[in-house]
Amino acid sequence: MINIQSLKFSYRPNRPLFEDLSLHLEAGHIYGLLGKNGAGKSTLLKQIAGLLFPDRGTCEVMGYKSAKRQPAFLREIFLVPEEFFLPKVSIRTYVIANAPFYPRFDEQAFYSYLKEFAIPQDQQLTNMSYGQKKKVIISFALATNTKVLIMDEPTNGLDIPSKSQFRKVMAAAVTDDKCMVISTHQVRDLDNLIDSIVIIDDHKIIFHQDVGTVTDKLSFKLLAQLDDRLPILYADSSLRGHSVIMKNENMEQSKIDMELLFNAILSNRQPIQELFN
Amino acid sequence: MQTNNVLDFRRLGYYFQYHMLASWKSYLLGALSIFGLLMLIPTFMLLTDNSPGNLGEVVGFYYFGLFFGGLLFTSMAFSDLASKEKGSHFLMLPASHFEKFITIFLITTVGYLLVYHIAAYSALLFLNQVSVIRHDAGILIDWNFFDKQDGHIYIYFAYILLQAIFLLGAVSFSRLAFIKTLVANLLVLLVLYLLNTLVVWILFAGHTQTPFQNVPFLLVGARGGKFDTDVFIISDKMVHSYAFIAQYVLVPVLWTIAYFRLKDKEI
Repeated sequence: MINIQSLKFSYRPNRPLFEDLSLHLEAGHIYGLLGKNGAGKSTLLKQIAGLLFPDRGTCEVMGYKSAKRQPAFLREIFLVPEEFFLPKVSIRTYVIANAPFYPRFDEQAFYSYLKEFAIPQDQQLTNMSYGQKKKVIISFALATNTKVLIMDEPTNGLDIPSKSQFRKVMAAAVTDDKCMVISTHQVRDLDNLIDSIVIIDDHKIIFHQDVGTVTDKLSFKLLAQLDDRLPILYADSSLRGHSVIMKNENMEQSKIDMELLFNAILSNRQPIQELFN
Repeated sequence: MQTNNVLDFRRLGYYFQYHMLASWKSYLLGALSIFGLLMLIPTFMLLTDNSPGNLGEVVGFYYFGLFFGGLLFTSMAFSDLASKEKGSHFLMLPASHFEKFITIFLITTVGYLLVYHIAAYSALLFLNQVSVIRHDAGILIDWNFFDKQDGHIYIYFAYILLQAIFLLGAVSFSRLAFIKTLVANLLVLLVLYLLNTLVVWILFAGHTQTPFQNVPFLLVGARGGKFDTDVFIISDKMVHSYAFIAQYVLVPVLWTIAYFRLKDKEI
């Protein structure tokens, strides 16, 4: 569905942000795009959306070159940027003006998402708080029923109850023909939501696995004490004990700790990557 | 059904509706400002008891408003692209670049001219009424004033050319487009003038009093003749060629470049 081949891109000459970056994303998944600040998460999403053009290589979505921004492509993709624009109109007017562009827009679903997020439907968009506006645009994005939905830091500005509402709403919206990509640096916000992890660092994709494969090969545990005999790949100590990632030699089932995995891959990449090759 | 990715009239209608729903307050405010500013002239005349006798005495205000207002309005046509948030929304909305461009193009050309002329005509009627009340005589309104024979039509050609230049400027410079386009134009004119001067200097070396004694591409003043001043002017054929290029070639070329600049926009 999303196919990026040998992408090269830089904002400034001789300082490439992406070099030979390739990525293939399929329908039916919610991908979590993780990376440090400045790694290029937002830039990659903009490349997918066609807001930035590759210096070299290709970026295609459903067979369309993103950079051409053709209507047939645009009506199948919705981007929720981190900083977004909502005009000075009511929710009703916003729907009247924007919904006709999306052939599968579901008005009933839109208002039910708003209800889920407890957004008053008769309010002017400009009179809303940042968090409320974000909920409106997320609701609209989901109601468009586009095949590709990309969200850049969608949980920024959402309060704690809203984050769990967000996960609930997103999980209910995913279908076999949709591909959702969520970029975030707050990895815990995506717990139990994403089914594939994509980590971007050092100008390229350094990790791309589905959650099932990760938990098959790695075991996430909280230990009271570290033991040298254990196949520990990464450990993070805190007052609660030692959160560790180990080789899953006994095929035990454990709950993935996204933050731990992210830190492990960034600090001790090679042994973990070798496990997946 | 195959989607037309360039022009679909239904989608164009949606985009026009979207644009007007989002911008009608700004446009209404702009139209009222134009009307208010044009009404200032009759109000000022009413206060100073100084009424114009004919159209020619006030037409300068009309031209000033037409050019200044029209070019300023055109310069702001793509100001959304200056903001990442608005720019992303503009470019991601599922309409083609052509539909977005044509909507803004129509609003800044046909839309502005229509609103401006309604405002200007209303102001003129009001001014006339003021004149009748104060001096028992209306303004001599002579529409022949705009006849092609008097050359006034060329002012409109100039407006269309400048509007096309400022439309290109609006796409190219998202921030401070009016000032930047103005400066860029002055620089282009200066470069053309200097280039022309260089050519004149090569061709007329020693025969001109100064190398700058020329009007680029139109005439050159040289030494010689009865009063030691010969003026070389381009032929009528050349004048007509220039007018043809300005009217029918340059303007569509500028519109086309502006469209492709929009297609190439990145946020």
